[in-house]
Amino acid sequence: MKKIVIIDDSPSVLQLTKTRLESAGYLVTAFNDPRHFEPAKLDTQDLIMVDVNMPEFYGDDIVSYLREELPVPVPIYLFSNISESELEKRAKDCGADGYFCKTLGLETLIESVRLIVGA
Amino acid sequence: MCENRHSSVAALDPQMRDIFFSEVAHVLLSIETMLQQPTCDWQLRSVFRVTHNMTGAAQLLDVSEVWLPTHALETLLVAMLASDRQPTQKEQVLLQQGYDLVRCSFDAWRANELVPPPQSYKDRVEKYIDSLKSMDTAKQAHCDTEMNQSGQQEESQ
Repeated sequence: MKKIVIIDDSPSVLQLTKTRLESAGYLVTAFNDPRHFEPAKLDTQDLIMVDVNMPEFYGDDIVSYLREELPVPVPIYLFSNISESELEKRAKDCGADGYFCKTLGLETLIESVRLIVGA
Repeated sequence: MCENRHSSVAALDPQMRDIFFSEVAHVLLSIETMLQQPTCDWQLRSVFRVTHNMTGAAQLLDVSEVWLPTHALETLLVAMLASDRQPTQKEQVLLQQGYDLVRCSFDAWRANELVPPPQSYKDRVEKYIDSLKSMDTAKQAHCDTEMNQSGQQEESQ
């Protein structure tokens, strides 16, 4: 079973995304506070999704941090509802592998995740 | 890429629907509380966070009937937070109108009734934000003029 980590401060967004990804067959670990995960334990994940606008952190900074701390490369994607052009730029600048637009909905997200990590 | 798609209540997975309804109830209550005491800064920040969360949840579920008005309200809250001062009467009126619109839109969508269009409110918020920007520009121009005048006076002395 493919493993996915989501980092997002919104409890409802976390719950909705986790529930839908799990129903699609993924094993999901959700964090609503970036301080609660240990990068060293994320190296067995197949995908990491990071929200951009959180109260105390920007997802971009977390991605940059993870890029340095993760012992092995894991695909990291920004996950936000900011405009797609800004999201694309921020993903590129922070070294993320790509981005997911919340505005496109959960079904589009599932399709994108399948393309990235497989079913 | 903000497509205007729609999800009906009936089409939602019951578990997802419950999560969303719970979120909406929480947000509406937070805004109601703040409207009773709109001058409190921490409440404004807190309401911005929950409104932002509700926009995200509604977007994930493709409920444009709810996320479009909520996003307009969120835009107003961002401008209010950036101004770093007590909310004006105009802002309080816009907050109340935003709350009313979000509540009506959610209730109508849930009852599968006609949802009020958010464009008029969105236009009012954008117009208000433009007026804030014009005020900032005028204030900056005034400061620049004063600084130039004081510089010229110092030079002549």
